[in-house]
Amino acid sequence: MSSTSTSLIRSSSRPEASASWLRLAGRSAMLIALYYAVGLWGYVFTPDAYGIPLVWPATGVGLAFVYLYGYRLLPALGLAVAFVLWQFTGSMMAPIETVGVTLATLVGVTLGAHGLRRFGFSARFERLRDVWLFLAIGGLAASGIAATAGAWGMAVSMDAVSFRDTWWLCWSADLMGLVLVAPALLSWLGTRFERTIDGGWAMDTALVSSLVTVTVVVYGGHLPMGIAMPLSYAVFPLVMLAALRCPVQITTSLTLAAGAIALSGTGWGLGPFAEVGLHTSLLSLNVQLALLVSTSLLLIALRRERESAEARARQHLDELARAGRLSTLGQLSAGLAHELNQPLCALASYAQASKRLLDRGRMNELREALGQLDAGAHRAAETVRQMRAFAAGQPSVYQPIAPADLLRPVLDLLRPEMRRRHVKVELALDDALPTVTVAPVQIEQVLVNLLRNAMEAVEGRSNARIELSVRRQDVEVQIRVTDNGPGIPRERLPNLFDPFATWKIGGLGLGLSISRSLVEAHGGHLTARNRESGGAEFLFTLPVEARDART
Amino acid sequence: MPAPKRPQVYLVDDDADVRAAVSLLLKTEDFRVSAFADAGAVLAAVDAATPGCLVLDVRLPDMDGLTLQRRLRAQGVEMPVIFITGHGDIPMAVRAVNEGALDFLEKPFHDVALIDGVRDALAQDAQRRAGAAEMAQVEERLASLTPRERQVLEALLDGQPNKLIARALNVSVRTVEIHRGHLMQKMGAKSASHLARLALACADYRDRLAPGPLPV
Repeated sequence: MSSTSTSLIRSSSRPEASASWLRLAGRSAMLIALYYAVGLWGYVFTPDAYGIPLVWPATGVGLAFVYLYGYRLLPALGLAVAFVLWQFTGSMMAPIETVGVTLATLVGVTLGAHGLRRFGFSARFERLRDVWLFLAIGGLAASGIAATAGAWGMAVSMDAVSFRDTWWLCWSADLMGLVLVAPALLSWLGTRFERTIDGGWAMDTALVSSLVTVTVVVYGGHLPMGIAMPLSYAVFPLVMLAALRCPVQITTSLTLAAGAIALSGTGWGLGPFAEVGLHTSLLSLNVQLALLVSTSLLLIALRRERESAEARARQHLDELARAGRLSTLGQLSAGLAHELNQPLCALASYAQASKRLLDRGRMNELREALGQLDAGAHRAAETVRQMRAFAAGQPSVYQPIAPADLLRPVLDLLRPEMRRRHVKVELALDDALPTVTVAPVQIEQVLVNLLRNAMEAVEGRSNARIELSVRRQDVEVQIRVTDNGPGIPRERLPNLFDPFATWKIGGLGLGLSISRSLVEAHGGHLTARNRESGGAEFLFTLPVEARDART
Repeated sequence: MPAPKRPQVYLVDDDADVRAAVSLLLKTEDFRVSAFADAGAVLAAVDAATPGCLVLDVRLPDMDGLTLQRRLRAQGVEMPVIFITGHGDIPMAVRAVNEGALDFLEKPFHDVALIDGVRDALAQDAQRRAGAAEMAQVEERLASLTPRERQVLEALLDGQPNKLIARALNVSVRTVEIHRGHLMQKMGAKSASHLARLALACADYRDRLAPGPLPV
């Protein structure tokens, strides 16, 4: 028995294993191809004097792949490094040095990938911390070690080149390549393409095409230096806009494209930076590109932080609304129990009467009693349904809803309470009210808070009256709760909506504060005043749905 | 003499379903039931002269059941009250029973409990009414006594023998005996102790029941 199941597992795991080998082979091939391509591109920028590439994106490719797909890609990376070294410096570098440089690159990338994973780096650049991590670990571990090895290799091979002179050149070239290419690879390969803000493909396309156009014009070599140099800064607003509005992949691609075009142009002696010789010009361009990349990464991270803070705030508000709803239910539970006990009493009495009618053979009356019993059971079930609907609440999704449908569950819920306190709520709804787009759970909670306050204010008055009116006013719906109670004490008015500002015994003082936050989260506002005729008035507004406002 | 009216059960509850169901239940036992939604309606409709009882919900829209009970008493309605409640409100139950409620049933209640309760209440009401009628008769007889007969009755209630009464009233013992005979006859008393019981139940002599020093 056990041997069968083992063999079954083994046979079933085989296709998975081969699929994972295939995936590894595919990724390895992609790594080698990309590494070779960017290496080739890097050697375009080798000034004659030293033979040191001034931009070296290959380490960035290695770091991104090993970070994303694990250490199983190290053999492929080793192959790629050795192959590129042999291809471009074959005659100059001894085999032992090639091996040394390859090993050092592998160590640098491994340490870098390990560091990024160890410290919880997010490829989406979600926090400022991710930016610092990326720059520090990329710069110190990956580029630092790779550059040291490269400089050492060259210093050993060439008498004219000293390690101390070339190290920082190698390092800045490596780091420059890394910050241009790694964010794009990490974001495209490692994270989902998420559209968070409106704008859509139109904005992405517009930004990409304007950036490419501007960069090609600037580095095409046709503009005079006096214009081309200042115009080269035009990439900044484009990249900043993308960082704030577009998915992270678009931004990282923009910086990569800007860097690639600018570096290629300058490498071929074109554009504003090409005037002063490759060495100096590429270094000054590198500084500009480094600023561009840092700006974009910082903005991406700041935007992400703001977005997640907003999401947290929304979630807290929603949790508060739900907590308020449960606490409301707790406070109303006595009334709700009564509301259920009444139909139960009726049902029990119908059942007992039916038994007696059956004993006496009064069949016609029995049939009628059973019909009543059935109808009563359904009414009781409806009461339970309303209660449950209010307690559970739908998930807090915004949905278009008619104001009357917002009021109904609230009034159903509070009816026993109104009866107990002998308070009447008068409804005044405008005809043909527009729909509002709200999270019903939250607005219902606001209504419950305001109505319960009003009930407490008027309880015990002989002419206790609460009016709930809904009117349309231009592009908003106004919901007003007025009572003829004693009104709000004058000294309470200025800080009425502050948390914990209660004057009720047993109240926490959070109801109004939460209500105002909930209304404001919907783009409305909540105000309170005392009416001249006595009593308090609470008014809140909800914006009418844009589509509806036009009609 | 008119035939005694059939007793009336007054049911007061704000819930229409409960009213209909409980009315039906009581009607299966052939009680005469009329149901009301609030205190005002029953206060307007109740007839103190008809025998009956009240089944009241503790909480009503316009006043609570205890207040209604007091208002009914003030209106001269002495019928027994059975409270029904959906609240399991023990303090209120205690107060209700202290103020003279016959029973207190928690909803949903057992049919037997309600029906027995209503039956007891109607029996109690009938007894009270019969007792009241008898009392009225005794009071009437007491009022028919002559002043001299009243003097003899009071002396008898004080426990004085005929001889002492005769001396006090300055008449012969024989005259006292004649007054005493008339007195017994008028009051419908079979013996001296029966006469004393009847007289002491009347308003004029009730205070003589108060415990005091025993006559030696």
